[in-house]
Amino acid sequence: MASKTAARDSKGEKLRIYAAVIVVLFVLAVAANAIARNDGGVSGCMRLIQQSSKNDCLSQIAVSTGNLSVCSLMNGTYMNTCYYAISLNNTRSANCAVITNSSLQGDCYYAKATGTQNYSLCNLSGAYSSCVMNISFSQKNATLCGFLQNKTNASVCASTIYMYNAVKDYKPSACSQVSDNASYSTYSSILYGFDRMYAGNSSLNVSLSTSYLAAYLQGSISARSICYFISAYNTKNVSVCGSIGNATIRNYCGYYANISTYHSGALNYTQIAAECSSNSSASATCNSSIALVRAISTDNATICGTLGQVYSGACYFALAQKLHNPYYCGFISNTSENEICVYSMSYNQSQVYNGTV
Amino acid sequence: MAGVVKTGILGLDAMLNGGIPEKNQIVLAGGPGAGKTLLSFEFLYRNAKQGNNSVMFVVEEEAEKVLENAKGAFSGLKDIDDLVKNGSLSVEGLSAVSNASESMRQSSYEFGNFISDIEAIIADKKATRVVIDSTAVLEILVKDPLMFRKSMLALVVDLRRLGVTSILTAEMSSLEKQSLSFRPEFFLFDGIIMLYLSGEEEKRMQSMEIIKMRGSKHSFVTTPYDISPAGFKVFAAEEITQE
Repeated sequence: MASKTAARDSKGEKLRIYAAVIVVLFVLAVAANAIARNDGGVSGCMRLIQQSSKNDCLSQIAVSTGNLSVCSLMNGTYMNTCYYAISLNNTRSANCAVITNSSLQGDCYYAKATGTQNYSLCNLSGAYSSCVMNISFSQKNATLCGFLQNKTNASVCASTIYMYNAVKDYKPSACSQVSDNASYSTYSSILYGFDRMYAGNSSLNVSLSTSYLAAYLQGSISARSICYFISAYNTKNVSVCGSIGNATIRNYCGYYANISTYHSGALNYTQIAAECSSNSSASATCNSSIALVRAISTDNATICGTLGQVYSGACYFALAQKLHNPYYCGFISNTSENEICVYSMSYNQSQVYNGTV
Repeated sequence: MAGVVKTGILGLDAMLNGGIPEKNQIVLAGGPGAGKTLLSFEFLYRNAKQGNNSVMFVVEEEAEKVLENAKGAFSGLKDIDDLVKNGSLSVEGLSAVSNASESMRQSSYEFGNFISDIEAIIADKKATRVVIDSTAVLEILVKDPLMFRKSMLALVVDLRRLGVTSILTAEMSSLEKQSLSFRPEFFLFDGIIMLYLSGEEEKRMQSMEIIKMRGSKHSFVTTPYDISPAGFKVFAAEEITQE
């Protein structure tokens, strides 16, 4: 029994010694790695055994010191990304020319051109038009678009900036300068540029996404129409929608601008009623407007049904949006408008009514 | 104000200025072999590790194969199986999507069924992070271009309604940056990330660009990336500010 206990003790002792040795070796390895990274750099990195650790170590030194020659100690892909990272740092004079991968070299010039707003570097980017456009967008300067020799690109570039200015400055009339070309490649390029100029600005999200949605469902719509759409919503001015050629989008624009006006408090039932009654030649339009506002104010869908097709659609659309209930969209007789009503609710608001009506 | 969902992918969150805005629907597009499936898988893996239930729908391959490929490519991520076992990370193939595979082959399967099946699985898994890989098959399912647009819209609307943060991958015919163009359905998404592959053989270079990310001031710099056993490494140059 005593010998067995002694053997166990001896075995346990050995295990403790092994464990201690392993711990010491591990600590030494970690320390060696740390020393390699901190002992004056490059030579320390080169002593690292793992290639990935070596690359990380060298790349940290290269980027922090801006020393391109350190990058050359790395293998292919890492060497080029190292050059790229240093070249992008605008405070240093490092040059994209050292990058041996032509595509990455072009990306480097592109990033440097747009980062420093130096369009002369765009010539080396391999994507001249896009490069010049992005600089023009950054500077919000349509005259820079004149550097683009391709007329379509120049028009897309300038239209994007005109559209941005029209929306930003609440000047719907400036939309007339935006391209009316309804081809997908033209309007989509302008919209992507516009999206880019408004990156991070959430105030336009609703009108942006709904007008894009309309464009998506309609398949063909010009950027100028989208510009009017967003401007009508922003300025709460329904009459701006009248400049839109496509009837479905025009109606949809009107509905949305009405809702925007209603929510802002500008569409006041009492006020409209007073204006209509003071006008001796009160028209059917005036009466319909009153009925429309009354229906929306009192959540009364029955009134919507008594109106003519255009006002009826607007009425149901507004109620659907106000009550977050797509049920009312179902009463819109125009198929396209009905579809946009249903989709836009859940698309914009993530709110679909789940209860009963 | 909604928060951001960190991708957890090295360098990508720096490009995204913190992460993907919560409940955004993102399209991740690129040519074959660019790493769309792996990148989106890693997004789910990193989120599952943070306790967010994540589910990937693969509609072109068997789920097991995709999982095995991911484990092979990310051999340094040792806990993938653990996350799968505890249910926080799921890869669902066609067979799991309510007999979709068979129905699709019979051309009787409708897009609406696909959406409702996906919805049921998301609810069952209580998932808040979702990947659909890829939308290419769905285009085959709905041949009419206008119907496809509406179907895609219905899918995006549904994901939005469910309140998940999702990535849908899209196949591009070309790998090269200059010959890529945006597809109409990209308009529907809150964000677009493009993956590029350029150069030849040993000089092949992978890079990514964030085209748009609504609600976020992201980087516009095309940035190289590498796929290692420990995951993606995006070489984000944070010093660059463009706007």
